[in-house]
Amino acid sequence: MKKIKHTSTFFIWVSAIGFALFLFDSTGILTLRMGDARPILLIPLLVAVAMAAREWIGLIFGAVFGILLDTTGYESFCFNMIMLVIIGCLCGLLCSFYVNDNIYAAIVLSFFANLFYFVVRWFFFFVFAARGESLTYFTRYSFPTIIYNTVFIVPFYFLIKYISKKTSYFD
Amino acid sequence: MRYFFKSRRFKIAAAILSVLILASVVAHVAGGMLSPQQSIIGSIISPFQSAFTSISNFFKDLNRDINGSEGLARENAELKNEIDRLTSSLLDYEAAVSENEFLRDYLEMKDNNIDFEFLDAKLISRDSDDLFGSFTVNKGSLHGVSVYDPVIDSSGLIGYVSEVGASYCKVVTVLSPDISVAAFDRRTGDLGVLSGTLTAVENGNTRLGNLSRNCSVAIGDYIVTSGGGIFPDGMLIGTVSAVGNDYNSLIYAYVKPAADLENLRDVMIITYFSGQTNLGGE
Repeated sequence: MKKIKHTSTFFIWVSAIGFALFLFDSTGILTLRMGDARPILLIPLLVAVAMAAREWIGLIFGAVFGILLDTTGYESFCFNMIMLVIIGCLCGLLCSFYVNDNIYAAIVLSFFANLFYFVVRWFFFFVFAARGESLTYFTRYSFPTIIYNTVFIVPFYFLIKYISKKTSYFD
Repeated sequence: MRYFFKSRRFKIAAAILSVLILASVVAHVAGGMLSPQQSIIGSIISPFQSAFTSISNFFKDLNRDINGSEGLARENAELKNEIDRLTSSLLDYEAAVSENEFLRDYLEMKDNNIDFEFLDAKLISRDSDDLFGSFTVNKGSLHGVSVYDPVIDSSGLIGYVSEVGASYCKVVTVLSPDISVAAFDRRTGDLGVLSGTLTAVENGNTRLGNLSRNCSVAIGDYIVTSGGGIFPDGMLIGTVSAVGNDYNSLIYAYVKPAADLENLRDVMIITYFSGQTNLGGE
């Protein structure tokens, strides 16, 4: 079976997009808040990359994006690195073996990836940390963010697909 | 799929990730230091964040000018400086006229503030997902910053340094539930514990709890630190914006921070003050 190979141009493009998104968001140039929802755009981007380039690229970019988020996250303690590695790797594996590569699968995968991320984060940083009002935080902030984050998979899926088509080849 | 987890590449990747996680644990336990990967990546990207933050501030200022509010903004800044000056004078005045022994000690502490060592810093990025306003600044351990160093601006207390890298550090604000500051009402002397809550932060406030049932805290009162921990005493935190009854029959007060936490640009880190409690694990 022919294997798809990604050139270095693909990595450069994805790295540049991820880095730009991170910088724009953390420095306030691009704030896409809608009500109480505050998106983390690197998660749907990672899902799109993992779907296009599969598990190993998903794992690597998961680590890179996770470390980026950890540099600004309060008390994140490599939490983002671990979570995004798991998300990138699992999304890539699911696409390689079980899931078709289409926009509907992307939306479902993105939703569950965000759900996984925010639920685990809520457990560790609110419930276990006994911060109080944890249920309010989840229903008011986390869940709207999960939905809002999922929406961004649509443009990212097509963007990464386009980049992958232009910069990849079959071996 | 099974072969993926059994493959040699996966085992190598897992080993590398385990090493990174272990390094993070060691760095955290050693005293709030950032993990090596965070420190390295953060040091590389912090100049970019500084540049982008400057661009963001430029466009914010430009937007304000275009909307014709430049004159109003200037007048607003002048009035805020005047308020800061008057607030400082009011604090001095209250201390000076009272014959209470604690207020006499307060005057002594104000004179002793010449021992403060300040380090100016610029805000370079925010945790956009954090409701409690944490941010990073462009100074780190190389500049003498340590974990738990207080962070202030001209208006009042902002928070403390929670994690330190080589060239940048993360700051937790007074809005956070992870902060726990002993503070008191300047006018009445009522003592409480300041810590953020989700309900308070929705209106940009923090919460002073554990006030006694017969306290006389009122809206407009100034809340200052009582010292003895990581913050020097007498630091202005904010003003009381609301008072209410707690579930355990104690009183709580919502405190509006004196510092404008949403529009911070330049801050001061107190790298040393006399009586500083060293919790940084040095």
